[in-house]
Amino acid sequence: MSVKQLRTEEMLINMGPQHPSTHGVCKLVIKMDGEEVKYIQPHVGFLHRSIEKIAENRNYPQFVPYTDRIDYCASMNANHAYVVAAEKLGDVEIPERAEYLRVIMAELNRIASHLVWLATFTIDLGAVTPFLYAFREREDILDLFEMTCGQRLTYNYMTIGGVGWDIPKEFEPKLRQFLKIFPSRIDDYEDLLTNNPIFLHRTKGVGVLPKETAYEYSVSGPSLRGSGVKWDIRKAEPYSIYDKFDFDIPIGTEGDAWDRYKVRLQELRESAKIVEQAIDGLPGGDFKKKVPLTWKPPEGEVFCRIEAPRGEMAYHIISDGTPKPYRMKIRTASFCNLQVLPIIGVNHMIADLVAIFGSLDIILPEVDR
Amino acid sequence: MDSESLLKYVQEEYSERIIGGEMVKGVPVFEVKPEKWVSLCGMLRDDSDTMMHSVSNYTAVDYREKHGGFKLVITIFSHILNHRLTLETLLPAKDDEIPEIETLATVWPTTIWFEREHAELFGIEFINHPDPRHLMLDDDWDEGYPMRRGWTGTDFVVKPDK
Amino acid sequence: MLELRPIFDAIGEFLNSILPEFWVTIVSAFGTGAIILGVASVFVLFFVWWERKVSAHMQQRYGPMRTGWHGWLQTIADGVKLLQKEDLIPRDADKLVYLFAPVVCFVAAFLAYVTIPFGEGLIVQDLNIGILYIIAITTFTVVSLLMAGWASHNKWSLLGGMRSAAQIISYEVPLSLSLIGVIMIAETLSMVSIVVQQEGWFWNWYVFRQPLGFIVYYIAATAEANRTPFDIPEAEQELVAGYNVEYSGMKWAMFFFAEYINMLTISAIAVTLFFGGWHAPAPFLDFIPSWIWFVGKCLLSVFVLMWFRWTYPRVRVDQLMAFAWKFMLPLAFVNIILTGFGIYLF
Repeated sequence: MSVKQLRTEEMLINMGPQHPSTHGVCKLVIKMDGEEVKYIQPHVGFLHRSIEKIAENRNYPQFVPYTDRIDYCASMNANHAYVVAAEKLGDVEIPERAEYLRVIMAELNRIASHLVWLATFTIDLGAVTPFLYAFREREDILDLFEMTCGQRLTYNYMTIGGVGWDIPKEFEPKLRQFLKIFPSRIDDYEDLLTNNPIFLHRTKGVGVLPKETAYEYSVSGPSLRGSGVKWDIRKAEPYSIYDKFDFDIPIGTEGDAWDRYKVRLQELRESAKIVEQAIDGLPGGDFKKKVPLTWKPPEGEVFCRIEAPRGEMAYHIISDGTPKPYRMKIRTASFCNLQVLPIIGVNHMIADLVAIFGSLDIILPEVDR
Repeated sequence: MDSESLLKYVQEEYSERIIGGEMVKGVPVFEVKPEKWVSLCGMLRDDSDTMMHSVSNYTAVDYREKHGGFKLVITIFSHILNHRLTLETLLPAKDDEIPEIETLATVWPTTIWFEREHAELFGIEFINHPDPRHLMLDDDWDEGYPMRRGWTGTDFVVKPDK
Repeated sequence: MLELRPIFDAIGEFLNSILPEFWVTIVSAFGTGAIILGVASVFVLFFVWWERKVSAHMQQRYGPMRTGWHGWLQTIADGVKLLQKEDLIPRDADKLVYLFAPVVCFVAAFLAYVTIPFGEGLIVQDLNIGILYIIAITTFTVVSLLMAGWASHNKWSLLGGMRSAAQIISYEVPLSLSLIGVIMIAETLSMVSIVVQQEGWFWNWYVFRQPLGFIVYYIAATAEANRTPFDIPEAEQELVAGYNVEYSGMKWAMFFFAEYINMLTISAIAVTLFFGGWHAPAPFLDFIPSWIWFVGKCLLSVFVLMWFRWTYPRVRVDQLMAFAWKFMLPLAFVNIILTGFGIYLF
């Protein structure tokens, strides 16, 4: 056989829906030339529950538990996005203590969510041990949540008009102890990963997301900040009481997987800073304003967005004056962030594709809703 | 640009493309002529005074009873100038009609998935869409358009309030 | 005192006295085979449990705790479970190759033990080409992985099989070259002679004369055994499970078994060639039997391999190849040249 008769063929592979690295049920149809990925087509919808349709058939306060299921890694933030939007729609003033409690919970959940990301990302790269280290700290946060609202994953904590429960008196000492040890634990992760040559080789220059592509595809959250855009809705359009706290927006320079990793690690520190300020300034008083189950917001519509751990989470609620929304559109960060995967994932090795997928921090129920 | 001046600017600059504009909860909202939908979006993106290069949200609303058609609502914003506005357009449709409109994918690629979702869930056809497959539903889904008001399917029946 | 050699000698004499010579050969061949298989199996059972405990304690958890004292029965429970599992063969698989792949893998892993001296006089056959034999026989693993990857009729397996072929063949080169330094100093290929030369205090061990050779050997051997950070043929997060994705039950267990046996093999070779084999680090410690020293050193080396695995991320396939050809290979050559100079000068 002469060399001319030798030929290569692209191989079509279904990555998922039961692949360990797709973080849920997502199917990537990929074409490979040897180890190199030449074409990616994501297939989503396996988790489609049509939460938007459900919303049209539930009263406003009844819908809060459903928001938990949109992003199960950061239920508090998903709650927060919904209640902020609903309160803006109905012009509900809430007690100051409730705002502080919401910020504490939202930031703690951001830490927990980033820890889950760190854990799964390192596991995608083949390092199993940081996974359990990250889960150790997440466990502390989940204990705090359990103490407050009795749940460990889907909290149903925030309600329209405040929060569901006040914090118990053991909460504050435990939180302060956590905040004391947490920075040293982040240092541990950095020791294990940040300057590890294998880790650097696997993430530096991998999956570079240019600023322009990020704009075009409306990428948000840490994935956008990794590309060097100083954009955080907590600063740009302060909601709740975020304008009262002092924190930085970490940004990357290259937009590669390493930058996204670095940004998230920095955000862990920043979130811890916010929690500390919030617990220091926590005022007394009511934590809840009574809102009836058949709460009727005035006719109109509202669009409200917040910064969830994965990026911009927004609720577009249209009310027709009845106790049920006329239409509710939920905009989630992963829905837009996943769209860039076919752009930045091609011409990489399959191992890099896994790393890129991990570094974007996609959560599939958020994509499908 | 703050919201007030953005409202004024768009009203003056693009008056022949919009039907009207108002402030809703601090954000400018414009009603756009359906045939100018794509061109206006492209202009707002390229205008150096607006720089609307990102989409915050893109939704469709079933207003067949109230306004006699579907509304497309898009919220666009600028990272650099930190302002946002909302554009709306009404696509007339009655009963089971399927309205048509030019796709926005040429302006913001991120709308590809949003439009795929609207196409399958609301039954709106996007002309020249680069990837007109189903996104959420099965490829062989034949039970109509679930997000339309009053839709019922084999597994979905709205129960009356107690 | 507790040396095992006299016991085997006694058994040999007893056999000689009751059986004709031909039958003695047959019985001793099967006997040693059974002993090696038994001992290695016990080691594997221990390693599986030990790796779980090591990883667990590195990750701030306990690992198996319920089955027996600190879960020491866990591996046996797993073995029983694997025996009961349904043995699936994919419909489109190449059945013959599919069935033989784990067998080849299993046999290749065991054959290396023919020339490994477990203690003073405890060797199946002291071949005068011992090292060459081991290098040749351990490479056989790659054939089985390719067979498994190809026969499973699964794209992920195929990718895993191709990766393992590329990886093992690449790392075979620096691995073989790294051993040449030792052979040059020892002037023999026999494992026993090499160990005998390292007698006395621990500074006689070849690792102190061949540090570079040892480093190259150890890294290359880790790659040969498919251990993290070089476990790309089975890279769970990328290729699901690589070449063994379609295997279940005992067939899968055989691959698993072979992997742990390989871990012991590379440790045993490292100990024999670089760490004085069965010798104690100091002459006054000779009262401890030689096989205990050998096993102890092997366990230490296995522990280091586990330590690697639970610390590092996995390298990418192209980085792995680049590392082998651009870094390890030149390093191995440098080692040979330096050894040559050393021999010439001293």
